[in-house]
Amino acid sequence: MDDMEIIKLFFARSDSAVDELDGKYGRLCRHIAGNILHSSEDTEECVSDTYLTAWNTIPPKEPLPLFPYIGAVLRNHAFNRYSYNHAAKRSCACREIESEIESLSCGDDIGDSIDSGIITECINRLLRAADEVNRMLFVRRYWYCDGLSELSRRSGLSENVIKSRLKRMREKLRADLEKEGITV
Amino acid sequence: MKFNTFNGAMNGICAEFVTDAMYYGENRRKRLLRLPVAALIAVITALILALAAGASVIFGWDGVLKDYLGISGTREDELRNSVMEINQSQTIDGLTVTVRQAFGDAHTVYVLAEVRVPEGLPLDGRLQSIVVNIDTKNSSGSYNFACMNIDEESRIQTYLITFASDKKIIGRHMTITFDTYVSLPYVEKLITGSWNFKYKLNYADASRCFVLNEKCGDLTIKDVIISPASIMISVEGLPDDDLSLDEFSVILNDGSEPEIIRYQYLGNGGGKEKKVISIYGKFRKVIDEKNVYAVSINGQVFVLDSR
Repeated sequence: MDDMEIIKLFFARSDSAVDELDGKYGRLCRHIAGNILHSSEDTEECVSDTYLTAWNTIPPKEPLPLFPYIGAVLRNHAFNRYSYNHAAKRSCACREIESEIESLSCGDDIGDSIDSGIITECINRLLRAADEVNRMLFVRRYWYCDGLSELSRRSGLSENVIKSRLKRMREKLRADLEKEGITV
Repeated sequence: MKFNTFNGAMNGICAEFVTDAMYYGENRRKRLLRLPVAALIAVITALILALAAGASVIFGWDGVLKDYLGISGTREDELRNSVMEINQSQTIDGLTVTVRQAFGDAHTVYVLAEVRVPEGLPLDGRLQSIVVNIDTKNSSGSYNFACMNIDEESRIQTYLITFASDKKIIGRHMTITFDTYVSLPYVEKLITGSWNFKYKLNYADASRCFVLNEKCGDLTIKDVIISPASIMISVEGLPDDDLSLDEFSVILNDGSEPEIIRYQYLGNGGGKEKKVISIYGKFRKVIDEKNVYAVSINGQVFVLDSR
């Protein structure tokens, strides 16, 4: 079933909308939530919360393609739960990603007051300029929250090469953010 | 940058980036999963041809290893001395790990291992860790591993482990510890235990060493060692904070440049204590070391064929 048909089911308030959504994207949702939370119980709750949010927001939203929207909702739920669990139940993979992002800092933290849209624009520019493999590695690492071993399996590159490529991309992002006047 | 700020920004990236990456690498897995059939056909074909030719000995290259390394035709015979059979097995709670074969050169070794998963456990689980060590002193090693193939009928997962060191590893003992079988993606422990193996690396090294001692910008290229599987360049003059070369590649006699999929420095770092650094690269597919014409380092070409 294509995305439009699933959205039509949501608009019709059909009971099968969530089933179809789960059938098409459930595995991916569980993969991402599992990468962030590393707990089957938390993952299932997070996926359920995501479907509930989808039910409550479609309509009026009509997100096409569907998965980037569902994935973003899922990531919000998963990271909220991750923050809630924090020290006691942090997963290794996500802690690694967190430290990679925090390593972008070299001075005062930019905090929450900066418009995240500017950062998004910088990330989009970075991804447009990157070659395909680097773009995939960056998105799989920081959007799908894949661990390094998973990235290595998917790309055929060694973990050291992947770390090095991601580091270079983060440095480019930092430079671009600084050009935008955001001191990270 | 705050983690939450970054995650919020990532949520807004262009949808195409997310959808493009959705199934990234999945075809690679599917392609690998189809390998057994291709490998089986190749083995049967080779068997028929060998029997027809009256061959007395048929060498047992593993299909996964051979396909990953791109070894075919006459190279199978030429490289047979660079392979060693190990065939050590251990079983814990019904899960059997077998270390089957190793192929390598003086600094690199590929080890093929199989994991037979007992009925009742999910076949898509993974070994939580694989730790590789070698009994050399004052050396550094680097390794990685990947599950290359899952055969549902025999319930066997095939792993390929790659190890590289700045020291010569042939004649040394290698230990591999496989640890705990877990489910994915939640990392639930299914069988807790350690499967331990130790064996001596004993195979022929097909490497060729070219002594250069030539300047390359501010650097001095001391020597280049090329084998079918890897290249190692000894460089003097690299700054402590960047132990890497901007670019290096190998040029074959036909002008082609084999793909190098991994490069890094091996050794304990630079500085006054260790001026010569080994820069290492691994070929995606094995090359014919006899057909190497030159190496290009930071844009400068060093012809090797006459050395």
